[in-house]
Amino acid sequence: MANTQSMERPGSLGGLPTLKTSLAVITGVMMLIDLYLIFMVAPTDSVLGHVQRVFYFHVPIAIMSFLAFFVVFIASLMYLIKRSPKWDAVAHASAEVGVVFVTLALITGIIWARPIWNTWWTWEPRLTTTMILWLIYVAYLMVRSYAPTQAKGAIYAAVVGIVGFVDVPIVYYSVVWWRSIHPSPVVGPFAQSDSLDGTMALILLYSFITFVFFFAYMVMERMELRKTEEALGHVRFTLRRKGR
Amino acid sequence: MAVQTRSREIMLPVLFFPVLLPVIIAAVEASTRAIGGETFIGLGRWLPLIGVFDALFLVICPWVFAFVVEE
Repeated sequence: MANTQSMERPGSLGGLPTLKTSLAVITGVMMLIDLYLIFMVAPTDSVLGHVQRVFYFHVPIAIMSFLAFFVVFIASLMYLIKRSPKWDAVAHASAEVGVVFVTLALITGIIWARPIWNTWWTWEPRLTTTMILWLIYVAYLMVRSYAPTQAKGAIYAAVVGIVGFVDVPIVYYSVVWWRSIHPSPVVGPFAQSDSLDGTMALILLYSFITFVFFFAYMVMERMELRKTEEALGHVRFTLRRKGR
Repeated sequence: MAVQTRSREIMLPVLFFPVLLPVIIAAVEASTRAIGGETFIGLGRWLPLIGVFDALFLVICPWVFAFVVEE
């Protein structure tokens, strides 16, 4: 029993590690080029100054976090239908990375908002929706880890993943209509994106592609970590049974 | 679902507040108008919003409920 467990060492399964390693290398190189582009090549914004450079992180990270939760939604659906643990692993990894990305999007947003809007936070629709999104997926992770068994946690989490994702557009509209009735004076200069010049748009696109790779790498890394966790769980279980 | 988890007292509000937020906003806004003597049409988008929410969750919840209570 113990022998067969130790045979299937995670990380040595064919194909996956090489793909992951190459992804890591590609992501690393792309990220370095991205940093160079953002800080050396990108023109300084005439109105907003150097602070505007956070934009090249903020926008791709925010878009990627939505994408992450879309992946969670699809994987949760597939898990409930097919019950294959692989889909649960995808949903789990994507949700964790997604929460990190939303948190980063909120933080970079706050850094940007302070000098530009002269406030750290405003209850503007997009910000409020992002905040709610963050709450939903933190709840997703909590349900998963507080469930009585891991199998139940996976099902509960899948339910939250589906309900949460469907809810997000409704949250968005409710907050948009709500705020348009109580207009806030601070609503920011979103019109800037129209005046994005060619180099800026290209660098933004490049930055976005970089973050897609980064996301894919993080999800794969997290899935492999989970495999290790499960293997460790098995070893612990058998050891405990032998001890008795 | 929330009852089965550990630290169940925290889980219920954490799970439901974000999901129910649009209904809370819409209900508060609609009630404000209704009390203020608005006509049915004067309630504007808020009733349809609650309607859309209900319709969506009437489809999702019965389907998903089976998974949550099984065993």
